[in-house]
Amino acid sequence: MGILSIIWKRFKTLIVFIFLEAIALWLLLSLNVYQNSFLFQTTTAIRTNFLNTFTVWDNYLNLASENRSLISENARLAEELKNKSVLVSSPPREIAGQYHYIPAKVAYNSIGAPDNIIVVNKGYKDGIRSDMAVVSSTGLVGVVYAVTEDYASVMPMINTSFSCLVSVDGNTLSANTSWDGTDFRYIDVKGVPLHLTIQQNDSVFTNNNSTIYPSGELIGLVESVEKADLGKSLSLRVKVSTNFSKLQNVYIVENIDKPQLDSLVNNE
Amino acid sequence: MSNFIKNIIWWTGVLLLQMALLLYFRPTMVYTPYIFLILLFRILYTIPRTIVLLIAFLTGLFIDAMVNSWGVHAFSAVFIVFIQPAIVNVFSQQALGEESSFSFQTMGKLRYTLAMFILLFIYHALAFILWNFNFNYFFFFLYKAFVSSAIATFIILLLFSIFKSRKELSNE
Repeated sequence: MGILSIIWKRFKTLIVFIFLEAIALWLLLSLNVYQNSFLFQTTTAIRTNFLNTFTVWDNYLNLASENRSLISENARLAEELKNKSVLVSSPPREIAGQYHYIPAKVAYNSIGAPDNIIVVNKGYKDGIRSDMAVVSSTGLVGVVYAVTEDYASVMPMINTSFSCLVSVDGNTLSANTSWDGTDFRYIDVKGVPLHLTIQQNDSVFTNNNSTIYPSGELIGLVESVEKADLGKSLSLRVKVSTNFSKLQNVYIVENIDKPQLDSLVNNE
Repeated sequence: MSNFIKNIIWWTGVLLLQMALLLYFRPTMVYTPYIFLILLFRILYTIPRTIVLLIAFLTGLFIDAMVNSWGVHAFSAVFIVFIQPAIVNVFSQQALGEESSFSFQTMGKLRYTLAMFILLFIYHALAFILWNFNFNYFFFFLYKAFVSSAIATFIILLLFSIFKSRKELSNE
């Protein structure tokens, strides 16, 4: 209180001056249409300029890690292609074109909320529709749930409303992923049957019971296994393979056979 | 007549004259003299400066309401009252550290007129720039401020010569 009164006594003219000028500026910029629009245009231009510069630098600084990730993805794809062409005489459906991969860049990404979303820079005019899977070079990302002309919203795995069926180490399960809304590095898989022997670092993939997600997309590695539901099932803590905090490039996966599959599944 | 009544008459008279000038010149015209600042210049050394700043803000706001330029004159009036002592000190003949005052007696006619003109010029330039909010015509605004403040200075000096203030001009 003593310091405040000393400051007030010493600088009261300056304080009153700044206060009154601030009110006058506020009046000027809020009540005059021309000044208001000038301010809006100027701040928008500055903000856009800053964001563009920031994005350019951010992309530049992440080139090394992006390169590493693309190289490893290339290697994985080349290996997969080679193995499949050796093993089967006719090209499998994936190679013949059941899944169409559309590359996209992340325009907005949230990781700190229970209902996180990702916005990607591909939309309706690029052939994106809702209920398309989204993957990255390191694994599953989420599912498209809203589309505009140029952008699409993706519900990532780290959204409390997200769930998908999984398989662990080759065992197709009727267990869903879920996220508790706390740590974006981990998700849970609940309802795993007790008889399965699941160990730490087992891989968790999407299973083949979905018309949205391509089967075998990596979700993550098992971090811990616990008994749940009063000991009737297992609950897996899974460390997700996708680093959501550094997500930049994704692929939107269109299942070309989805309408046919959906019609058969719905008629069942 | 008490000082209070005199001040009320003086303030009302100057503000009415300002409104008449605004009607005659109109803010949209090239030259628009604002003479109401003389009210603020006169009270600066008689009441605390924070109160003068507040009065300047309210007076500026009154002019803003007249010409529908919310904030322009309030901002400029507060600014000019804040810098007035510094400008007056430059032109005053007082020794360093001595309290200056803004009047004919202490400054002399020429210095008083020059200080008055510079203060009015700063005010007009600031008000025109804030009102137009366009820096492409910066030098045109300076020219406009120069002519407007010259007109305002002339009107103020004319006022003084017509209503010779006993307090200020008795020693002339």
